[in-house]
Amino acid sequence: MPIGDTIEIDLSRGIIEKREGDLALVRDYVASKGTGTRILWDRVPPEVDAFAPESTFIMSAGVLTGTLVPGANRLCIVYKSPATNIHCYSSVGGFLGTALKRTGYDTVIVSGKSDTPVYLYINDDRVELRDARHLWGHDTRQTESLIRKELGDQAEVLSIGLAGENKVLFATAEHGAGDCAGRGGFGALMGDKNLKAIAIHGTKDIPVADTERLFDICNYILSRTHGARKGILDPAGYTFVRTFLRWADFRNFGGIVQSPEFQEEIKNSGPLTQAFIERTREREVACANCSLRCKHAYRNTDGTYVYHKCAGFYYAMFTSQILKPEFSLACKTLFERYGLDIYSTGDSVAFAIDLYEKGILTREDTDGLHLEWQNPDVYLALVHKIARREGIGDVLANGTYRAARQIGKGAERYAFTAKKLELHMNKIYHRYHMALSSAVCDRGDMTKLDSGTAGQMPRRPLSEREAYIKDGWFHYPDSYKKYFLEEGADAYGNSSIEAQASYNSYDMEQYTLADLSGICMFWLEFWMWPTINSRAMMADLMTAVTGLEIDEAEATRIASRVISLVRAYSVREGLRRQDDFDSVPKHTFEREPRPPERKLEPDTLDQLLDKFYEIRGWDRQGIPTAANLEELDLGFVREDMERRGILEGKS
Amino acid sequence: MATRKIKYINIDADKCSGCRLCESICSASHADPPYSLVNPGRSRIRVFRDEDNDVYIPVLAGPYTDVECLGRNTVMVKGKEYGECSFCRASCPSRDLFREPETDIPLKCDTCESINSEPLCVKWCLSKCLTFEEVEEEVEEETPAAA
Repeated sequence: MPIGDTIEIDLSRGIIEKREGDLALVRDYVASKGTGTRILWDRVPPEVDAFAPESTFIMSAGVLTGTLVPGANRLCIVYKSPATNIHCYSSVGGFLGTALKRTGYDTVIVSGKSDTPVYLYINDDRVELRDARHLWGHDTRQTESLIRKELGDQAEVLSIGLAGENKVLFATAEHGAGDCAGRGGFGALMGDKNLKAIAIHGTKDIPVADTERLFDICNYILSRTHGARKGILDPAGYTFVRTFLRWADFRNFGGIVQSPEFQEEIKNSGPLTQAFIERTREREVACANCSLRCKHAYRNTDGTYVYHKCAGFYYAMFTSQILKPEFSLACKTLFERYGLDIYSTGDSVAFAIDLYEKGILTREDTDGLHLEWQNPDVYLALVHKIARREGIGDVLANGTYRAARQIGKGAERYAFTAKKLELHMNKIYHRYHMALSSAVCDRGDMTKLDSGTAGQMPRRPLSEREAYIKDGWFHYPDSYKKYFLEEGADAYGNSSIEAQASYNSYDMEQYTLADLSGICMFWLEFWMWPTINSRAMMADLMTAVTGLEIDEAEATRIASRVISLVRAYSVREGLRRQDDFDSVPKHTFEREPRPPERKLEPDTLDQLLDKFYEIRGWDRQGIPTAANLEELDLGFVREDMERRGILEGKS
Repeated sequence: MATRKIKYINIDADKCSGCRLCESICSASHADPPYSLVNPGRSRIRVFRDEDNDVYIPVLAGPYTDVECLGRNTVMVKGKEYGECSFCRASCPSRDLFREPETDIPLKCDTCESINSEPLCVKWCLSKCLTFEEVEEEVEEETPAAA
């Protein structure tokens, strides 16, 4: 199999080293999140702070990225998150991954800190660090267009804005039409390294081992895209509006109940938002080789365009209580240009307004700004302050977890985080599926573990479930059919503990394989209609492209290896069962949801965790056992963890 | 009057999603052996894009020329000015577009005739931005030149 090379860049010394790719690494970890985590394990141990010069990030495209496989365009960036202090990875769509593959490099390792602002340019074999002093202070869109003026229109750019430069802990790195490395503060890491942008342009071929096999599978996959399109769009944006409005009963996305008046307002705003989307959406835009077209182009009042998708549309609206889609677009534009994570920023602003309302923050703390809901000026002023780290913004820029502890006076009660990362929307955490997904998801953002099948299908009538299997949408192994068909869901819509833990564990492997292969999760079980609907198909795709014989069992083994390695990394950083448990907001155990559902019992979450850990081969603390590590060829992890006293050594 | 079939690949640029699957499938299907590689640099269709201005225009490789244009003009789209080269179909010495990387051989769209297929960019364009049409057109019969 042809393996791409590796480039290693030391920003402190300005040294660029190239070396050949490592076949053993590819066999064991494939690419992307896998190889990235393996390298991170050695380079960034707990002794190295996320902002230390030695802190390293690894950028690697999925193994299928850039081939004909539909939706295979992701590039994974693996790093220690300055926000969560554990393992973190950002999967970037757009054209960055395909561009990197075409340079002939598979992996880019970046460490050190530059004295002056620079940007990295990878142009086939030519790799250089270029002066970025003239770009510093520019927003992400300007930076991208200035770099393209320098390098040509074909260059793909990932850049940070002011938020990244100022090390806002939820800063993003933005790319192209609304793509970004969003959660976990990768932008802050780039800013800390004085790395303003990464530009890539490649002209080489992306070879494939077994062409016929690949072509056949691709044609089959393409013939089944309708389901996922339905999830995204059909009927034009409505599902969308209805679903998100159901989540909007709470503000802060952690569980403060919105006033009844506002809830009423939300209900009425649905049709208005829908009409707005239908009227003003000018284009559906896609990432490389993807026909799902989930990003929608809207025209700003100043004539520029902004790309919005999915839940992001509602975040600014719900966190500000301004139910105007125009306001949402203005916010998204601002977030994108500053390079701010839409979820964490929205949460932080709402958190500040909440504290002000409770009297924990006063006018003195806010430089005389009177914080209130439904005031666009206040909301935007706070966003500006956060991105520029001015006044109260300097505190909020550390994320709600840290800000709450800096402010004190009981502010902690109003900060809702999972592993120090602001919670993602108000998912319905009292449901087993959401609770467990949030608890065990490896970076504190449960989106990467959400499954339309496990989350929504078991509660449907039996006939629908049978048809679902018959139509080929059921992606779990046959042995799971007993959970799905015989058990279904209880009166509250929950699967049994064992079924839920099994679903989640299997989905974690699927998502990991998606990351390794570079396929966007929208092609998998994220929607209720997984276009790529079996592990065997995933293994087939990998085999056809790489030429390595990867069957279903081997794919499972590789995924399990990466999952345990990622877990071990975070465990080495101090993550334990309690952190998983606390990733479900406390109010979930205290408040009755709307009938007919019921609140979650702490004991149930404990049982879910026990079962999940057991399936994964981890102990009660969520630590991979020595046997689990040995079985997955992770002996070096076991040794390191024994040396540190995390695992008991063999006597 | 005789007729002949003219093949059209029609472009509705408003529907283009900018996914560039057309570039991938074109380069893959024309590769030797077929589908053994993907490289938009070898594609006979390229998508011109400007995300900031919501402009996405697929451009099919047209005739080869060995000289650059003498005159230049500009094109205004949605209030933004673009150089004419942006949407030009020619394989031309002024730029890399529509020339094989390494060999520099000019590329031209053959509506997939060389691979005995319907145009694959059209088939794989799921946004229906590209459509294919065969039209019978009348042509003047050639009269033998007078001796």
